[in-house]
Amino acid sequence: MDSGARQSFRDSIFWDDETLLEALADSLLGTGPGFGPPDIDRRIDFAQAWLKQRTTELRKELCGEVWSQLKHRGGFDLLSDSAIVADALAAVHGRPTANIVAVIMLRRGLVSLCEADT
Amino acid sequence: MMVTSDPFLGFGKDARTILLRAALWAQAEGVNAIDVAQLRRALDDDQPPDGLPIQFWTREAKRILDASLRESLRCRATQVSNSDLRAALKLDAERPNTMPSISAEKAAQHTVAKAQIGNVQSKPANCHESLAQQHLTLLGVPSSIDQAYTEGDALRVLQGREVAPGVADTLHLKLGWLVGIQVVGFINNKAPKLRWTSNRVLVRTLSEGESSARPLSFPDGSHAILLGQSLQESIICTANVIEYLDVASGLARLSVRRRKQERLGFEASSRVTAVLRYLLLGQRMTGRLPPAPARLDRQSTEIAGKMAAGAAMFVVAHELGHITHGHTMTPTTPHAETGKMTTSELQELQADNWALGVLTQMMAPDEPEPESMALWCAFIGLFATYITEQAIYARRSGTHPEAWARWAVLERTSKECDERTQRLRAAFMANTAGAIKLDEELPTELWQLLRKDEALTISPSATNDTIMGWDRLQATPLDELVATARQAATRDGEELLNLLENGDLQGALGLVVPSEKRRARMLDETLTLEFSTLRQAIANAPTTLVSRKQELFSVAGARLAARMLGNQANRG
Repeated sequence: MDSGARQSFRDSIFWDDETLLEALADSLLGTGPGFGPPDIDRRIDFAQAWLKQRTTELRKELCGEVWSQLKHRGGFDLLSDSAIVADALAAVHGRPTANIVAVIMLRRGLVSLCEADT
Repeated sequence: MMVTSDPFLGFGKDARTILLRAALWAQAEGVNAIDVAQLRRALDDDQPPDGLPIQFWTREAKRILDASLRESLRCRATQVSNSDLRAALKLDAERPNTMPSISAEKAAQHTVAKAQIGNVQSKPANCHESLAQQHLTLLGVPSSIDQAYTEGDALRVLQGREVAPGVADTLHLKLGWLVGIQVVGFINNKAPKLRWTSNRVLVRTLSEGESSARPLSFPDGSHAILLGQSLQESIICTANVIEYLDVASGLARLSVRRRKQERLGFEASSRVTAVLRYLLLGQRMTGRLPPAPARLDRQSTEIAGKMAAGAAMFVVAHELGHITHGHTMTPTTPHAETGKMTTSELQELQADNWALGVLTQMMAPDEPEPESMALWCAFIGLFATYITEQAIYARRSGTHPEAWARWAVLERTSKECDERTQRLRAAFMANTAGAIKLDEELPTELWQLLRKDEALTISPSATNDTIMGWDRLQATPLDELVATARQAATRDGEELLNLLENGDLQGALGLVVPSEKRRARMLDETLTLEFSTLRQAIANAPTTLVSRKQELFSVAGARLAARMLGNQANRG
């Protein structure tokens, strides 16, 4: 990550859920011009649905090595934990998306993702 | 020209086997040099007969080898593989090639580069796909159209009727895909230097998300155009309504008796107003475009289908216009030269104009009046957006001029059209103006008209009571609606209505929206705000605002807020 991306990653940790979803939608759907004005609420709904559809994949990506690494780290640090999760997701999701998904997943709790009955 | 230097440096074992096979095929076929055909044959797993392999390569074959080297570098592979060869062949088949020939030096550069890359960077997933393709996979867009459908299903979708779950998504995806191939293919033929091949500029429909379209550009020069399925549905519906209006008003004019002529003309026009109002109300109250099936005859369905596809082409060309003009941002600051207009609005007009030009050129070989046809496509695309915008937004952003204004600019810069076209467009615009004018209810007779003619009707599941209930909530004078809402309001509900009546949107949102960031976004004048967002915020308020008449209360509150924000459809 370059310094700008790192700073934005740090900032994203303090965003509320809706802002995170909006950022995820921006990363997935783009932010530039279009045929009509952007439908922000629909974009947020899209991001929400997109995450939901990927629960199984995210479980596969995060609930093995990453989850055990985080469990055995001792203590909880959202910034460094997010970085570990983002690294694990980067290969499939690409960097900006992986960073946002990492913060969202940690905010929602990996326990509920990895230790819930599937 | 032929090379004798060793072109195999940097090629993996499997790739070398393919090259040897190609050389053997060249020998077996009695040619002097290995060409693309032999490379293809070797890659197709055809086993050549034994013999003495040819050692010379044609210019075309050298290009393939060179491209495969580039491909493996792009994929950060340590050696050229068969898939790199395949990717190079595919790329070569899709564009005129001007790549320099391969040399031993280049191959050596490859081995140096691969050593530098080492294991520092992991190999990207699906590296033989463009970044746009990879992004579409990430979005969950199917990479092929596998779901079965019948011609009847396609016809039903074009008529705006319901089909089995999943089938509509498939057909809309296919429509967007085909439209994209046509527009992108045309531009690629005209300007091959852009390298807008079908695997580098991909047009796909998203079943969920925005009722709009958006381009996404990637660092490898590939692009994805995302089309909203609801925009496509709206376009199809608008095309059907216009075709209906054309046919029905034409039939009315054929009547011998003047009174009958007038009655039929009035009914056709009223039916169009009613169906447009129904579309507007449905979107406003449910958040989705309601089904408005049109059972036109075969010829009219074909015409409407072609117009809808043309309108989708206009939308795609508009997005490509943004890319070619280098529009990446949507600045809502006033443009220096135009004063009142924002830079983003000006960009939209540029993209519209570019799209019209492309469409006119595309239609030139088949249409006697290509500009007129292209203008129709633009008209349908823009008015489909206009109705949706009027239905959805309580506040528009300054990124786009209103669709009717965009149309007016296109029309002004074009040649004058024939009388019939002028009359039809004027009638449709008048009907649209009637439909979006929410300050009075539509007469009951007009709703009943919609049930009388199957050629243009509405979803049977929408009863007259429901639709007229929606209409009443939107058209009742606001003071009257608020007074009724007050009767059921709690103390907090009263306070909310008071704040909204006094124009204190910030205070009102403070009561109903707990998230500070969300409130800030709802108050941000540069962003769009949907009517349904306001309604839902009131309906989901953390405190009890109303003891009964929940829907009426939330609509009253949302209308008060929307009136403050000044959308035409919210006045009243």
